[in-house]
Amino acid sequence: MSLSRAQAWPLLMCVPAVALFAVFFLLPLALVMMLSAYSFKAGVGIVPDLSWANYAAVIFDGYYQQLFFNTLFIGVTTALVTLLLGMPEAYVLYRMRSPWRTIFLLVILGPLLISLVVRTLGWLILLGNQGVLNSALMAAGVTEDPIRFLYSAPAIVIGLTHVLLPFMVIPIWTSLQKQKSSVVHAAFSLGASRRQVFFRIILPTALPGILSGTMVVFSLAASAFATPAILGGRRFKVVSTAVYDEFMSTLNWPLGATIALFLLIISLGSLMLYNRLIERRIQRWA
Amino acid sequence: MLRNTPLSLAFHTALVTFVMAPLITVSLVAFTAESYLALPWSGLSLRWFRSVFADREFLASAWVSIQVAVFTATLGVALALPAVLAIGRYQFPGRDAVNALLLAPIPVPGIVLGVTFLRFMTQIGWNGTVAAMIVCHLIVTIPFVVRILLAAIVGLDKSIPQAAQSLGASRLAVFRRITLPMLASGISGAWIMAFLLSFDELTVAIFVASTSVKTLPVWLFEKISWGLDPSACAASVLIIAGTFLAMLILDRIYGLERLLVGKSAES
Amino acid sequence: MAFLELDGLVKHFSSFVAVDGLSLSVERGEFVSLLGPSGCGKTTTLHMIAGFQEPSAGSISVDGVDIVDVPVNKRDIGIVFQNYALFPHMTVADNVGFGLDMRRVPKATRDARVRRALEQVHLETLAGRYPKELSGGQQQRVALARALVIEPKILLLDEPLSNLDAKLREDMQIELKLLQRELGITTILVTHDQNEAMALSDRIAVMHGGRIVQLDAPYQGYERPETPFVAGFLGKANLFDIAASSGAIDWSRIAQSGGPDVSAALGERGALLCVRPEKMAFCGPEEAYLSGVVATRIFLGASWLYQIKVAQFGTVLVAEQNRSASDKVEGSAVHLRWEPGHAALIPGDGQ
Ligand SMILES: Nc1ncnc2c1ncn2[C@@H]1O[C@H](COP(=O)(O)OP(=O)(O)OP(=O)(O)O)[C@@H](O)[C@H]1O
Ligand SMILES: [Mg+2]
Repeated sequence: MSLSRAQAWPLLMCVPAVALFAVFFLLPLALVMMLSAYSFKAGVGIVPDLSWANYAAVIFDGYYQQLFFNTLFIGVTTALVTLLLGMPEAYVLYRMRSPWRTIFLLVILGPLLISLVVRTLGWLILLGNQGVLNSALMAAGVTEDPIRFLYSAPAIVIGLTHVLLPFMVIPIWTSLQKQKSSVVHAAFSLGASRRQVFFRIILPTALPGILSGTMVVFSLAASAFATPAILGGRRFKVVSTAVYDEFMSTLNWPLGATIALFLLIISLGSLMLYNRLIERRIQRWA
Repeated sequence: MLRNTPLSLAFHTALVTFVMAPLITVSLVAFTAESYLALPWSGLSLRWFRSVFADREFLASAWVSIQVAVFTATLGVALALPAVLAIGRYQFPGRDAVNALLLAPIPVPGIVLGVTFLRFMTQIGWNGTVAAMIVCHLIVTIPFVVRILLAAIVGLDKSIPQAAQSLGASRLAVFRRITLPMLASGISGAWIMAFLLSFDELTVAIFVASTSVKTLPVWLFEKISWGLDPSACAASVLIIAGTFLAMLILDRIYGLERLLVGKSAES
Repeated sequence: MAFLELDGLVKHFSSFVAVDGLSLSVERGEFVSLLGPSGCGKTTTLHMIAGFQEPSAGSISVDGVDIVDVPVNKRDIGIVFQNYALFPHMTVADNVGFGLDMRRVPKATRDARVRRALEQVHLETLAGRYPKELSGGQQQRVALARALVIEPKILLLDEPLSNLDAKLREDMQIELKLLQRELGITTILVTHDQNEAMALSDRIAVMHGGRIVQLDAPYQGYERPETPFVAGFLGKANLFDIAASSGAIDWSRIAQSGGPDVSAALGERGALLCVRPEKMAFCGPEEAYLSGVVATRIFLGASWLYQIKVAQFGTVLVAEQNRSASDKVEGSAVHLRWEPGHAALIPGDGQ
């Protein structure tokens, strides 16, 4: 097929970006997939022999099963907590008046742009044994000995909730925004009560946002690295921190690559599943 | 007609506190006079700021971060803009594939990208260089640049450049005199966004960094992991202040609300 | 050869045919309208002339030169878009001056020409404003000035008046017509407003399904539509199917009073008789071609519009000039006729 001049121009304009992505994204991804089929011998290093050994280890070894379970647990819990906080907050913002609405929207969403490590450091200080929270609790006489918050699943969930809250508020807020206020007025004029307006009009409108927010938060929480690494420490491992260990401490890169691939599959798989199951239905009216 | 009840406002206050708490804590601890992480009850001091400014590694990593972020943002916009113009304006074979490819890194977990780059950059012998860091950050940030630019271009009326063409403007003149000025806010918004993303990026950088070339988040992460002291908080305050400045500029130029929730603030 | 010659233009969008073998000759200085329902291919045709779209087949020539391969910016064709497409980041003067900048016109000449163009559209006082600060009608005039100032060979107008309110639209129609005459510029106007097309054009090309179905001067097209579609699209029409309405209409009386020979026209494909509502006249029962009952009566200011129910036929529209209060209340029996010369015979489409 020959391209007319009108079609060649746009293609040319894409060449630089596409070339970059081909060389530095697609190719490395393919190489890492190959890496996962290699093996690692202590003292020798990476041995390029193709085998399923790494895959078998990740699937059947109880240690890795526990890792994936931890990751799933963190993902699901964070998604739920974020939903429980984010949905009401989006609704509160939606009901606010003009200047406050913008101000608090930025207060809630702004931290998104502030360094993740800095925010996690904040939680580290807040939750530590001699941390702000424990000092306050002990001063108030609630507890005598400091409570161990850090290096546990709850600490990670708190940190991730803080980091990912905007990803829940944004889509719900966007869905609510699409709703013209005249629709709410129409519902009131037809005799609906505030409760009915919420459950019959507002909640269904927010549903696409709720679903996509939950999905995104789950997927980001399950693949997060910095927060579990800092707040989970050496005690509570998830998949991403285990990958880091394999690559940076144990140096078993093939195994690390295999674990990473599983994480990639889970992450992409859940997004695709979501698209198939839910989004199609809602797309018709949203 | 829809109003917030006292209960919902109480919830809102609690949530805002939750959101602000870690940032405020870090900021307060930075001014402590103690030699350990403590709130500055016993007196304010700037000693940790002095200490961080005397820290060679901090300064070096800040300089690397700025370089990487500037190059990432500039190259990212320069590479993404033509592609986005093509995708947003024209119908051509492979258009959807190009679009999908440029957005593809978004759902890929950072840790996966990190090990991918580590392996590849080691194989080609680039690991631990500023160039490698920039290339990796390009892959991470370009999808977001594409998103912002695409939104800006799709919002543009197609007939405006057509009108310019009919008045005798060449392709280049249309780009320089019509498209570029009309996209100015989108382009600068995308640039600052890419800068911030790169400046804050940890997960990929930690794999590509070396002892001599590391970015600020990597420095901070290592500091937190081994030998945390209030100087980390002082550095954090500097980072927060810098980010605020960038956010202010971003708001002026592009509108933060538009950037974050995809809508113009007042319309 | 005419100044602008479209020959067998075709435009496919994948398998969909938007323009289907369109041919049109426009003389220098002529004002031609493309009139047709939404989606009939008017904009597509215009965009092919302007060069925004490549024809799938056919040729376009200006002054005898084929321009299909000439890039848009070298065609020297001015276009005014439906939404004006003003450059939002430039002032009115810079918008108008843009085309001159592209032609590297010296600054002094450029400024003088911009000023003159703005005077022509009565906007000289608003030169420093931005498009956002103008009303719809003002924006429209800027768009017109911007297209005219480059003195293009051809001016293309894509529904330029459709966003304006009725009063402003009429004013603009008159201004547009005067300007076009004064400058003698060859103009093609796309519209789906029949009144606009008739008010402005030297000739109207009625389009349907990607083709021109009739090309005529406004009066000619109105009086002598060649197809039922044209009859219905250019103004209101009563269409009598000659074969089917023999019971309702007294054809022998029409023939006696010198009307068209219906039986000859009938043939295989049948025929329709087109009578405009304002050509219908009330009369006594002895001269009537048909009789019926007033179903509704609408007062339109300048005229009365009646819907008359005619047994076995349906509804007939009658417009009567408003000379006095109407005595034909709803429900009264009336009789109708028309001057035989005022009816047009349209060959049927064989159904
Ligand atoms: N880029 C395109 N891709 C596919 N189909 C198109 C495209 N542009 C136009 N069409 C189709 O071609 C047909 C003619 O479009 P065109 O815009 O010329 O109509 P029009 O006569 O100007 O209608 P309107 O009065 O509504 O503006 C329409 O059915 C339209 O859907
Ligand atoms: Mg059109």
